[in-house]
Amino acid sequence: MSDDDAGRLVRAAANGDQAAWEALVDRYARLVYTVARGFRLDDADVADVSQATWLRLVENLDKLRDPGSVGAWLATTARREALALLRNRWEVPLPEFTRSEPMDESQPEPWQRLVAEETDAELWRAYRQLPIRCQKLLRLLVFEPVGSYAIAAAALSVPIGSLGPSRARCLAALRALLNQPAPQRRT
Amino acid sequence: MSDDRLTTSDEELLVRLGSLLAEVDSVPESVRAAAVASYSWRSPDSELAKLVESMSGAAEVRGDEARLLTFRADSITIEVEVIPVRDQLRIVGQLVPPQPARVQVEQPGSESTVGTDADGLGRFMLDGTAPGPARLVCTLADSGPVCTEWTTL
Repeated sequence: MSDDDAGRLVRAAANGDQAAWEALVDRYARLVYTVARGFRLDDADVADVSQATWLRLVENLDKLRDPGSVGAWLATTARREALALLRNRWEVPLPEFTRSEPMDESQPEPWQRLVAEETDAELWRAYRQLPIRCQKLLRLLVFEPVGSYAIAAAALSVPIGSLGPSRARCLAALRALLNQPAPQRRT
Repeated sequence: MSDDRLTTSDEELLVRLGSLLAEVDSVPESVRAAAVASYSWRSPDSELAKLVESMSGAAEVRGDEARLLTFRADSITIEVEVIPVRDQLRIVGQLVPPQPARVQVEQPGSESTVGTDADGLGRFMLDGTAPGPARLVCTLADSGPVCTEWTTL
């Protein structure tokens, strides 16, 4: 979806167009959910962060300075909501991004569902061996348009200029892992 | 900057990774439904009171953690203390300037709305709010409704 399309949907939703709203949700629900899951939050909190982010968009539909950048706006808002929730839980400022806990260890390994897709299993194995920072970054670069920095920079709160070198490093690391023979699978 | 261009093979790799992660990161239906339903809370005709201050840990005497929140609109400031009471929240608030008003807590996913009347000094207390996103709606005697920003309590 281009920025123009996104901007058009935001303006239509601001004018009461429910279908435009649903199109925005279809387009960005996974982005918001993925950003929320990047923090140390349980499922209920992730659901709250997502809900709060969408409620804030409803509140701000007619106030966005750049409706075409609604994706980056949602990523920023979800990140802020997640941090606010963490602060309230723990009352300590948390360093982000550099923290090194896994995003979510409980998620099912997709090769259980994708056994036929051997290349996907290989890619997943390689991806999971990347440093957490790379996993987070690449996770945010796969949203349309693929490789766009705006959304990833907003979600990670890092300067856009740092993303090019980071992405190059992470993709190189991913390729290197893909070219290695598969290790014995742990059970 | 050559760095900023994706090579074709990088792009292919990201697209492959994208379809893989789409599977892994699929959004639970309840989360998606909540996002769609958020639209029903659109209230273009009410004034928005922005959260201007949030402080935690204000009530050590209660042995439990309270939060102080201040919301400000042009016409009114809403100060509230949010106090955990067992698994629910009590909201004790004050309207500034003091004035009578109908005050309600709105929460997505809750069928009933909790409401009360602020007294002549603008004070109010509400029990029964569940943790999660919420907003206060104040209906003032001489102007339209004022909604606070959605805040996760």
